[in-house]
Amino acid sequence: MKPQRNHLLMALGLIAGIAATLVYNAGADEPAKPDTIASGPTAACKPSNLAVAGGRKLKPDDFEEPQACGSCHQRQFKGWQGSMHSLAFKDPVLQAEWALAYKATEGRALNDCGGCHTPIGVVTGTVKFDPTLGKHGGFTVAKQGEHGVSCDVCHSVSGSTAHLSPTGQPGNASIELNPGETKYGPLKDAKSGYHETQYSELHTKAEFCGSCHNIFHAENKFPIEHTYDEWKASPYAQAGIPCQDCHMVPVNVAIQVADRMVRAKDVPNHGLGGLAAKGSKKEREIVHDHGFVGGNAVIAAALGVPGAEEHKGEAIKRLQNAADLDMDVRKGRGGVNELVVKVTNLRAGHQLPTSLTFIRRIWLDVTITDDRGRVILRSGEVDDHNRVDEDAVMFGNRSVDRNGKPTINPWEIAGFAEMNTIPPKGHRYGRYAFTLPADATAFKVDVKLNYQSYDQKVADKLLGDGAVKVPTVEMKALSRSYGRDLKLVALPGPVASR
Amino acid sequence: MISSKGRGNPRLCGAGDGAVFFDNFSDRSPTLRNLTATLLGIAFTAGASAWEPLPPTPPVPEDNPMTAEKVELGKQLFFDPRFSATGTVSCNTCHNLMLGGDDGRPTSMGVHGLTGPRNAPTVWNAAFHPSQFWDGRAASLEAQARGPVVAEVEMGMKDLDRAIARVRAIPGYRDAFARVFGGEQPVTVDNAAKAVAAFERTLVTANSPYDRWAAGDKTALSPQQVRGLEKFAALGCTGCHQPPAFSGPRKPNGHFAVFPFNDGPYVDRYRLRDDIGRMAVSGRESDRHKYKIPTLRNVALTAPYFHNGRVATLDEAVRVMAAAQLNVEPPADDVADIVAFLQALTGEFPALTLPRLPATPGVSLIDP
Repeated sequence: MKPQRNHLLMALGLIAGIAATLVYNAGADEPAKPDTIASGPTAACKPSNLAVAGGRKLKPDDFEEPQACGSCHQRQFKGWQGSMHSLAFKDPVLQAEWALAYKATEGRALNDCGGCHTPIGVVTGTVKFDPTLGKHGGFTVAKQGEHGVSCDVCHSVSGSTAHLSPTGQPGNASIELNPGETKYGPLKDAKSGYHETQYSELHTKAEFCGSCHNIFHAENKFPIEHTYDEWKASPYAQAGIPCQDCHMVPVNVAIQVADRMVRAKDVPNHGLGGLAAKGSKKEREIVHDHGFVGGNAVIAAALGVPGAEEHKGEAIKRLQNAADLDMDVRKGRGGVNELVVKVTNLRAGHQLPTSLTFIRRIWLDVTITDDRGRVILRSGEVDDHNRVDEDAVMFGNRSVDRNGKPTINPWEIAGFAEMNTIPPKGHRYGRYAFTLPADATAFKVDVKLNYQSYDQKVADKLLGDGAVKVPTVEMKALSRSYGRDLKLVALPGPVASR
Repeated sequence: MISSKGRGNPRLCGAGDGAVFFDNFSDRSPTLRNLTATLLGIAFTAGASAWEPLPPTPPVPEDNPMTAEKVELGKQLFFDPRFSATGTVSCNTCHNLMLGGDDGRPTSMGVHGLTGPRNAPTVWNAAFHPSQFWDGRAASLEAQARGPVVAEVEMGMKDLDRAIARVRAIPGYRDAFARVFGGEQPVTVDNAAKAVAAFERTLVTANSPYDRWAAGDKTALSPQQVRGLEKFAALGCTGCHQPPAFSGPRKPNGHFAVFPFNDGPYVDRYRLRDDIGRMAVSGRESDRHKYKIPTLRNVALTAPYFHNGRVATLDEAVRVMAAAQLNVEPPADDVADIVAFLQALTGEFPALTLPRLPATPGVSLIDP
């Protein structure tokens, strides 16, 4: 029997108007020409907010190789290796997207994207576009810049340039770099024989991460990615729990942080104490993981970089613990039944999904089967081409260009026409209408919450058809059985949830 | 196979060939891997420690290209004692190239039997060092070459003008400088320093057991040496002594580390803090007891150890470093393993013939 497809009621909570009011054309800003690295490194970093302390002219050798840091900071290096931070420049999806942006903006995207994806490449002026690379072109950079967000990017941050961003909040690489013998970090009494140390309060705060995890369009200023802003408006910010407390600890500890709403250091038996470096004498309360695990289970694993499998495993675990599902079935109007699926953002301190909310895909996969084995509702199915049913209940934002035309190209985005991400500790619903065949006496509802880092179409466009198969991660699953009277017949509560 | 050919992008990073690395992971998406390598022209380093072999040639500065004649001239100057006050001390006196490139003394002895404050570092592979002298006060070999000639306790010349005047007084050198450098007055301190530096850039001891191992010959190290290598990395030694030269990182302004970092019995026993290190040249309090990170290549041949040469043996040097820098007391087995590994850093020494020096028939340049 062919599944029904005409049952969808769209999810609630879309406030299309708000997005439209955020859209305006800037045009006033004179974007920096890509190849004019003339008046000092700070100017060279535009339109990103990246800056160099004292306007020094930097060479790639001013920055330490991660391997060198890793010799003493072995635990931190192991975590960083294979992380998306380590792949921030090498990620082929980024490279292709960036190349398209570069061509569409006559090169203005060079430093715009590069400011966060290869800060070293931008401040040293060594990042260059090469049209002969890849499907759409690609970028080359001095060796130190290939490591993306490497140890010596973050630990050379001597200040914030958040005042340069449109709202005064961190964003667009709002960091000042001061590489050299002094390394900046969160410990007040750090001592090293290898480098000088400087305590940096900024490193302990969400604002530090927000420097890159909050992105405004360089010209029209629209907040394209607002992970930091989402956090700032969340209960986590109010409880004083910064990004670091979830993304720089193992998932098991992050779960405790979110469930108890306490700082990571206050999680009982977190087991994260130890030495911050080889040769240290002082036991630290927490030695942070440097894996920065989020939801990306694709790139590291596909590239097979060292540490990839651990990162993939942690990313999947994180996704599987972020949200929860519940469901209810009730009588609708005119003999139609209504299934309501509730999706709760249980443990993410930002929206689900966050960052590229118009590209990341979180959706409901719903099947209703009657007691005779007939599928009477099917939604959110992944087809043979790894594409998700267009009518699926999808949690994300729908982005449009300055003319209101749908686009997912970040350089074209001027607003969101629909916003449907799930707020921290909040929930959204998926609603489905269905009718039972006259001879059905019971039915079963199977719901899955699924995640893809991006649509297969996006991957095919950026990398070429079939270059990578975007994996679907099942974040949560819930099955229940009901009688014809819509009363639960099976055990209440989650059956197949993980 | 992944190749960077034809894309004009030679920046393949890391020790291994990316192709080999990727081929070892054939269960992963080959299309994406190939695509990424093609796309970016970059490979992915294969492990936590980049165990690279020593390159056959060190970095060469643009303003001092290598030529065979320049190297030969530099070699003559290196071995020529006539530019010392007494006519007895050449570069080779303290940096004996027929041995480990040092003099085996705690601190070196120059003219008139005078001794200096520090141990002579080996000149073998010095071209890979990010800076020269224990305190890094010379950024290049060219800058370093000027120092010892006028150091009172080394070659003891009053000034460089007098030293270069002696070179200029030797017809054979005048001709050689003219051939190598050209110009109206080719016999200059700068050119002499360039020639010596060019020669020193040929003093490379590659192909040690470690290098052969790093290049893929897994039989080149004994099991004990492999254990030593692993312990060396696990202890954190590679933090400062970074492969392939096992010296510090190359930084635009040099790189310096505190020694000794920790207190402990060795500090007094070997008087490790008598010398204030780099602070003596920079005047900065933050440079107190800081030194450049010396190479460990051929370290088995360059006893005694440390800046003051007060530690006689390699195993004691390992214990001192472990305690003073890394706050550990490694068990005897670990020390033995690490020493075995350090012995694997002894390279192949190229055959050297002593140069004939241009003579001054009937005349001596040395003041009586």
